[in-house]
Amino acid sequence: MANEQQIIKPKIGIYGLTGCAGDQLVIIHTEDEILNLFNSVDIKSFVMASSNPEEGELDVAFVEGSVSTEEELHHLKDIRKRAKILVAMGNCALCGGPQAMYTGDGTFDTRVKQVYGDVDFLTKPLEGAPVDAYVEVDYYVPGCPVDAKQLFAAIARLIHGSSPEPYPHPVCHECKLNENKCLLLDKKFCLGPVTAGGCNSACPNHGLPCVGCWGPNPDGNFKEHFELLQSFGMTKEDIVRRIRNFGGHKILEYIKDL
Amino acid sequence: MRILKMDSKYLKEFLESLRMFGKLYGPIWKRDVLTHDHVENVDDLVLDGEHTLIPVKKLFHPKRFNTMRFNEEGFTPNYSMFEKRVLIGAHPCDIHSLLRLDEVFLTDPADPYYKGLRENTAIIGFSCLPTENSLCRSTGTDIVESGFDLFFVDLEDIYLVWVGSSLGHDMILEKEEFFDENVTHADIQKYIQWREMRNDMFKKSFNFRDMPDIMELSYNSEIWDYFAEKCLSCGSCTMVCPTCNCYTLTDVFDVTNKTEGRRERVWDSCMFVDYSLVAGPHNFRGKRADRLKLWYTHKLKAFGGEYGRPACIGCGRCVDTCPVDINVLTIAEAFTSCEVPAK
Ligand code: SF4
Ligand code: SF4
Ligand code: SF4
Ligand code: SF4
Repeated sequence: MANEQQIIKPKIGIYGLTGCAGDQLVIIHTEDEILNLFNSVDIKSFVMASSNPEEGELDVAFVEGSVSTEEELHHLKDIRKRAKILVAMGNCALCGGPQAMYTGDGTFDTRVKQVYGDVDFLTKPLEGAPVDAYVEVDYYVPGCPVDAKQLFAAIARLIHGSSPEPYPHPVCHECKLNENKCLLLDKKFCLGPVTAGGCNSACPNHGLPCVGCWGPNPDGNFKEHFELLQSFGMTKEDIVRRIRNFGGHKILEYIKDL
Repeated sequence: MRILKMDSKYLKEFLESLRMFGKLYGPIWKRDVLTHDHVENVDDLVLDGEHTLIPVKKLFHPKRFNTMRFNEEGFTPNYSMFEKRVLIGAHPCDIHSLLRLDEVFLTDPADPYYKGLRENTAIIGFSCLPTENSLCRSTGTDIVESGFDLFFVDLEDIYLVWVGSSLGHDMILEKEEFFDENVTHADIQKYIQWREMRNDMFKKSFNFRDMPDIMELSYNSEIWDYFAEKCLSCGSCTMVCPTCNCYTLTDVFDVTNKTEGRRERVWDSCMFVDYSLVAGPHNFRGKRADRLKLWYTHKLKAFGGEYGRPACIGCGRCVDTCPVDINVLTIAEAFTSCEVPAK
């Protein structure tokens, strides 16, 4: 009989850059899984669970938030160096978040001056950017905040040395599984078809439009969707403004020719 | 087949009596949406012919469920959803859709989940009147001859009741006093008039019989590109189509260091980008036009090589649902006339 194998728990770190900490909260608030998580991984750094981090080598680092200061950029690069796998979680880390909604509109310096005037910052502000603008990202878990089921499914895959399952479907998929009447059929605004799904169609379940908070669905037919919304009487400027609220850096490439 | 008649005043009591054969399911309103669900009160049943948003397939091919739990030793299938059920209010097109799904799911090797749900469910059909977009007269699915235990045709003061199985017969026996063997000439006349009245109510039709040839001939047509430019790839058409049956399986591990977890099964759609994605990665249907072609080949030409018939049963849901008007009517029209719809 073989000796019972020593279980090697993956070393993980959970980090937040600029964001609302909502994704980290999802982890700590998922009561069904939090004990399982603490039992099956070795958490080296997670500010919500312990104030005594050990910043060494990691098997997996989870990063929430956008890179919005030079200090965060150094921190991110350090995390990347130490982690075998880096997972970006949440809209801010994936797209830049609402703080990136004006990306590319004039210069960043002008916008900083407009908002803050002439002040000395503790660390140099950077235009809010997704994590993969600076470092390589191995896996993405979208959300605003992330969905506990999807995140823990990804974590469980990583614990088992396997890769998280992507979900490249629009919000409409779950919206129909939830048997909602489509808002578009009533000529109402909804960004479901061009938005990454996985939120369990949280807004349409309440008769509210999808506002795109999970970021772009790369397969989205942006051109036709814009035309459809315009046929409802919306202006293109209005659609662009709304889709940029959460679209950050990532949305720009999808709407650049529209 | 036996045909009986029942005074309409007995309907409620008769439907109540069916509880002894299983839990009642049927179309009811929930949050302003008509849905097939468990029926607490038979008064809630909507039996006039209005269509549910999601078709009856969801009761036999569940939208999302765990097929099994697995660990290092093996797996345990999850059959917890099996229970005796009586589905009330299936329309002819619903019943036809189940007969089509049977061809897919019950052909050896049968899908155990579908089979179990199907075998445990009695089907009580109800006549209906066409909705705005009903196309079942075009597809020849406006009447049914099999696939039900009982089928009720609503002739206002009476119902004509077709008995389609021995289970149906047992159901009648329990309330024998409600049923009359004596269907009179006057009743038959009434039925014929009802049929004519119903036939005249269809507002839309399409040339279903010629579509297989037309689809074959049009496989390389540039008309597909016109539709592909419009399609949002939202997948709604698949979710609402009663004969779409595709699903995806995902292994969801438990958050533990042991090898254990569950296998989840969720409705999928060939309209989604990863549907034909395989290792490599190669994608056989990355292009929207190719996805649409697969969909409409299934609906209007042949449902895969083995199931010779086109799968469309004319419910009209794709017409109700597609936000950019891609549906069997617009597709049939465009490929028949070789012209794309006017904007
Ligand atoms: S309501 Fe929005 S999310 Fe739901 S199906 Fe319609 S477009 Fe998609
Ligand atoms: S055909 Fe219509 S309903 Fe179907 S995926 Fe395309 S846009 Fe959605
Ligand atoms: S049309 Fe597409 S989703 Fe529907 S059954 Fe065929 S392949 Fe599956
Ligand atoms: S193709 Fe359209 S009309 Fe035909 S069965 Fe499917 S949803 Fe109904």
